[in-house]
Formats: sequence, structure tokens, C-alpha cells
Amino acid sequence: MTSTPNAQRVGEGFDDVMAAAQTGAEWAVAVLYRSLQPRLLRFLRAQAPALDAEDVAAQTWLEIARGLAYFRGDEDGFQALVFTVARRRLADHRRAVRRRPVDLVGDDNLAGMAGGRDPEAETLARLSGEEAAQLLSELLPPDQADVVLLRVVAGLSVDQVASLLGRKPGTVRVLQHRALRRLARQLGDDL
Amino acid sequence: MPFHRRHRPDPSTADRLLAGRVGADDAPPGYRRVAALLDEAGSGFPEPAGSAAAKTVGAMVTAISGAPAPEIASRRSPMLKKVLAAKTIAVVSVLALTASGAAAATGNLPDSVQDQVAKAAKHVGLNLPHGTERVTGAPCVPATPATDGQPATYAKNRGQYLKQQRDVSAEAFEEAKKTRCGMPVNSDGTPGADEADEAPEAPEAPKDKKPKDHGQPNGGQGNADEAPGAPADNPAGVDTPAGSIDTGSTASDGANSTGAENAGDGSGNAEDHPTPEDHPPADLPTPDGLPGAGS
Repeated sequence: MTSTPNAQRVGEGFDDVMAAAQTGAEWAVAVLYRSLQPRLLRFLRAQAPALDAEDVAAQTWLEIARGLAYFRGDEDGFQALVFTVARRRLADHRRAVRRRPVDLVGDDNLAGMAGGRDPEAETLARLSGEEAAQLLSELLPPDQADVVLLRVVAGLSVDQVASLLGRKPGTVRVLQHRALRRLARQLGDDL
Repeated sequence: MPFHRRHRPDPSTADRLLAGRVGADDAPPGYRRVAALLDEAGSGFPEPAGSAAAKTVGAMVTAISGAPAPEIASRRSPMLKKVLAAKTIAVVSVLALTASGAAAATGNLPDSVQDQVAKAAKHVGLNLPHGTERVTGAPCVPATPATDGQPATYAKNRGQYLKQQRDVSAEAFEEAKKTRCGMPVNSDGTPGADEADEAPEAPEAPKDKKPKDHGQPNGGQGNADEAPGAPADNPAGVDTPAGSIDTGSTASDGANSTGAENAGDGSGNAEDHPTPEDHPPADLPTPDGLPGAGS
């Protein structure tokens, strides 16, 4: 598995790709999928490690595909749409899990996690991107984690996050500022 | 642990931190670990697995191909057209009915149509005016003959025509009754107006006399208008004001001669059923002694 420093953006040719994807061109659909799927998976895994992120992501893409013909907007708008749908699917899965509680972690795994994670003791350099996202989710309250993950992992702007969460941009800025201070307190001194 | 006064990042720095544009080395004091964590969380995205990607992309293409075309306007158009068409039809219908109804009520429809409407309305108890066009021309006699440049004028209706001819002579009146002069002209060529509606006043001459047709055989179908109080209407001789002469014992035993006769054949005849004029009050039977009683 190769990795890219940043998720690939379609960039200048987005309009052409979108137009082709809306007609059902497989190459164009693949370009859209590859540009956002890595971020989507990381976001879903950070938000709900116990869920099958691949499954939720697949459902998200299918819902996007069904309404793709009606999409009008640029790449940022499409990115916001994908994560909006993803959050909706995530909420559905969380409700389903609450109705059918399942013990996803066996006793054997719990035995190997004695003491839990100590953020200060861990070397951040050893964390993968996915682990870093999960650590953010663990260290922050849900509303702050939501904002930070959408900004860092999904790559959305303050306005996009505000629109997606149904909050004011000022509220989002306050939440992200509180999240940074909280992370700074939890992670301790500088490296 | 040495005390570090943690720098409070300004909004711009916070934005840059979250956007991954601030490295750990450039982070404000106290935020280097935060910057490193955020940088790691927002980078190093792996390529999607080939098999899973192909499967999902294939499903997406299928979903896109199976989705209906995004013709939102065209999909809404038929419904809009239906609604507008229905509304238009309803409005036009209401206006047409109202206008034609008002025109019919005021007699402003074309004569042939007005006659038909009046005829139809008469069946449901509505009395609408008939058309103004009347039967004229030969053999109708004009009220005022044509003069130079002036056409002849005819009676406005049947009643006026009959009156006009009655004033001329009795023969002219009889001839006029045989024609359709003055009647409304209907589209089907039949007199649309009920003659009774426009019948002239009863001739004065017959008024002075006892109606000749009273007492004519009517097959037992008595008509109170024609022979008020005639015993023919009540062969059994009971319960009619005029027949009250038959009340009392005569009514039950049929001893009254006239009542018995009428009851016998059931047919009315003025000759056989004298009118009150034929039976002056002096001849009225009394409870004590009825003429013919017991005979």
C-alpha cells in the first residue's frame, strides 16, 4: 500500500471529471472516489473505531452516486457533500449499534491493553496518520473532535464545517480553539 | 516539570495549525506536539485498496446509470400542466355556466337557444323567458301592414295575435287559432311555448254564457275547474262540498237519485248531473225529508 502526503485533489479538471461522472463514466467516478476515499476512511475510523468503516464508506459512496446527477458545485462543495453524507451514515450505524449492542472486543484483546494508552508516553513520531486521528478523537469531547477531524482529516474550511454541522462559523472557531488548548494541555510539553 | 506559560494561539495560527500548514518546528510554544499530531492526522493517506475500490466504483457506476435523468423541470412540468389545465377548465366552465345561465335567465341567448333552454328549464320548474323570435309571415296577418320603406309589424306573441284577430271577427279568430302565428320559433320548428302560457283571455262572449263544454262527457275523469261541484266528480257522493247534498242517510244508502245514478255508471255527464243552478236551494234535501228518499 502506497501512501500520499496529502489526499489527491482533482484540481483544475474537476468540472470535466464531474460532468463525465454524472454520465456514468467509470474513470471519472474512480477519480472522484480515489480523491476522497482515504480521507473518508480515516475520518470514519477516527469517529467510530468499532464500526466497519469500509462498509459505511461504501454506503456513503452509493448514496452519493444516486444523487450525483443532481450535484452542482465545485470540488470543495463535493467534498463537503461527501462528508455530510458520511456523517449521516455514521449516525445511522451508531443508532443501529445502540439497538444491537455487540461485544466487538474479545477478552484476549483487553488483556493485552493493560494500562491503556498514555499519550504523553507515546512518541508521536511512531503514530501513523490513522492512529493520530484516533488519538484526536479520544482526547477531545465529541463536538470538538468533530470539528478538528473535519478540519484536519476531511480538509474542510471553517465555513464548510459550520455549514455541515449547522452551526455558526464563530462557534466552530471557538470549538477548534478550545480543542487546541485542550490538546496542548493533554499532550504536555513540547517535543 | 518546568513551568511553561502556554502560548494562546491567535485565530490565524489556530487555522493554520488545523490546516496542517504549521510544522512542529514552527508551532507556538506549548503547541509543538499538537502541531505534530495534527500534521500526522492530516497526511499520509494510503491509496485505497484496489479490489475494494473497483467494487465500490462499479456499484457507483451502476447506481448512476440506473438513476433517473436529472430533468427536474421536465418531471415537474406534466404535473404542473395537469394542475393548470384542470384549473383552467374549472374556471372556464364556471364562467361559461354563469354567463350562459345569466343570459338564459334574462332572455339574452339567441332565440332558438333561448327557446330550447326555456323548454328544458321548464321541466325542472324554472320559468325562463322564451326567445323573442315569433312565427310571422303568411298566413299570419300583420298588425300593421307594410308601408313604403316600413316593413309590416306582427303581434308580439300568440296572445296578442289572437286578440288582434278576435277583434276583427269571430271567423278570423277561429282561423287564427288554427295557425302558429305569434308562437315562439324553435330550432326544431315546433311551438316551444305552451299554448296555455300565452292563451288569450277567454273570449268575453263565452264568459257571459254558461260554458258549453261543461257537462260534456269526460269518461268519468271529472275536472273541478270545468264543472265545479259537479256530482260527476264524486260518483259516490261523499266528502265534497258540492256533494254535501248527499250527506246524511242518503250518502250511506245511496237513496239519492242523482248519486245513485252517477255511482251506477261512473261516467260524468252534465246532462245527468245537474249543477247547483239546476238544483235551487229550495230543492235541496233536508235531513227530515229528502226528495225521492225511500221511493
